[in-house]
Amino acid sequence: MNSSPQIILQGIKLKRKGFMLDVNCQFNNKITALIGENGCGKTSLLRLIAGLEKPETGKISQSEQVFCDIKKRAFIKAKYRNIGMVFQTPRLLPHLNVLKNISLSFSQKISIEQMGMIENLGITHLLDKPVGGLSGGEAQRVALARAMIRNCSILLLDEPLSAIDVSGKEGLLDYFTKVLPLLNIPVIYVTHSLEEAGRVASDFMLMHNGKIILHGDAPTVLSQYGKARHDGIVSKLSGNVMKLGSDKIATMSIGKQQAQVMGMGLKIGAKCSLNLWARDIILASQIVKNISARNALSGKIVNIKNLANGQVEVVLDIEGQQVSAIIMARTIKEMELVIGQEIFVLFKTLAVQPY
Amino acid sequence: MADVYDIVLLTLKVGFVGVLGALPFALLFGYILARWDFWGKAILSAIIMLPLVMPPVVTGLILLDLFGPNGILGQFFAQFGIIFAFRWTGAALAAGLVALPLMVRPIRQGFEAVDDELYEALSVMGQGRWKIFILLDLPTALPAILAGIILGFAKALGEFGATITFVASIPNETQTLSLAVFSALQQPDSALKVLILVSLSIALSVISVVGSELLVQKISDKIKGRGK
Repeated sequence: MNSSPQIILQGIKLKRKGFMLDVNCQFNNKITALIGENGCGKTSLLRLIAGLEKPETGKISQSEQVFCDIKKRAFIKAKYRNIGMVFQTPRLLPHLNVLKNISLSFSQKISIEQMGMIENLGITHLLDKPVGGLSGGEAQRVALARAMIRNCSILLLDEPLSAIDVSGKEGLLDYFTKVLPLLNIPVIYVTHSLEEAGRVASDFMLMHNGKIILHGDAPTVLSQYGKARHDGIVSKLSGNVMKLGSDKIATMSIGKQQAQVMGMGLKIGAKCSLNLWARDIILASQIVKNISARNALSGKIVNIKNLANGQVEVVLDIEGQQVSAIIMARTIKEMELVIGQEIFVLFKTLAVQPY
Repeated sequence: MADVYDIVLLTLKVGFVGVLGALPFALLFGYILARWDFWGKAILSAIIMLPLVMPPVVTGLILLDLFGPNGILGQFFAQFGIIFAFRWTGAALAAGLVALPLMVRPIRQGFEAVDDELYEALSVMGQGRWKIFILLDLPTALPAILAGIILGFAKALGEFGATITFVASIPNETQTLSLAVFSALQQPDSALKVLILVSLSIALSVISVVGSELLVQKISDKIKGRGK
């Protein structure tokens, strides 16, 4: 796999309502999840790469090709950039049927290989249907087929699941996890769902207020995420799926301990991760019986950090993995918590989405 | 009755040719006004609307000045054997000119309704402006374009002032339905002829307007993906 940067953005500035996009970054042949709150500039960044926006300053290039260099007054139009893009909404032409919509981005006859891609997306039976009658999930699959059929050199996915219901989401996420790693091109996946990002991407890029504050592999970014945004501290716990119960609860092993999680989409023996939000975690100095939180993992306090507004981040070690919890400073005093102390980490099965 | 038949045929011919000739200009101006921003856009829009608000007699006089035997454009077209003055072609030109503003308005609105998001999606897919016009602008604006054509045609059928000034009322050459009604009114004992011509005028107008409504509805359904 070629790991040299494929897309380079240098000194890019773009004024937008509410923020100034100001980025320097690189993307290689990996799947990068671009995360951050609404209106932080994620979509603008994609549009700059696609050629749908022109920056005020800076340079964007892909491999040897310069997409845009403001100093040299160079700007390659969107139509020449060979990019596949899926938007938040499908953006299909309403007067054409599914097949014609897919063929729009592709001038030659559809090959058997491409037919296989259409089949994998589960839309073969829809090819001669008008797009007006498609469900949100089906329409987005068609949009994805349209983007992927042209052997593009960059794939941009702008919150592709945001307009789809839960059942449609699950299927497409499965497709993404299987197919995107095989493309071997830069894939940028914009989302504000960490669950989605964790399932699809290997790299995370976190944006805030028009700037990129973190970029790296998923665990690194996730572990630093809290430092970047106190109220959104999230930790990742990984393990293996051991059992799938008929009541939709799966048991996963985390080191020597076990956790119960929602079992949808999991397979026995497979690796599995959880994103734990620091505010969702309850700490207990002893096992509590008759409580609706189904999980109590034992861990050790490795650090206690003061945050603003009378809050404290307690960093815990659970089977060699670090997890953060946010509690009130007064609780620390009342529970007499200290570094090195053994403690139980409680969370609800429903509070975590395994992937 | 044979001359009534000829009058209707001539009226339809003048209307069709006039609207057909005006259509490329209506599409061009409609598209430019809808999609481009440039200095003088309001002025261009106003000039196109002029034949709608100007007294038709004035429009006829201007046509006579420009396209008459001594007019610059009249002499230019005469080189190719196209003569407008006192010919049915002149009636078609007058009809097309007064129809133009009525055609441009809905066509412009049709192009304005084109979804910018679809435009972007198509450009990312590698389509150029001309291809996008064929794939997106034209189909989206089609009901509006049809509405414009019908509206223009209806206006062209009833054109009177500019026509009579520019090409006079010559039976079998420039005497369309409305000119024929006017001319019949001035003859004695022509009540029946006037009645027939007036009824035909009303019938033509009703047919074109109702027909266009049905057509626009059907095409609009198809474009929105509701058709079979």
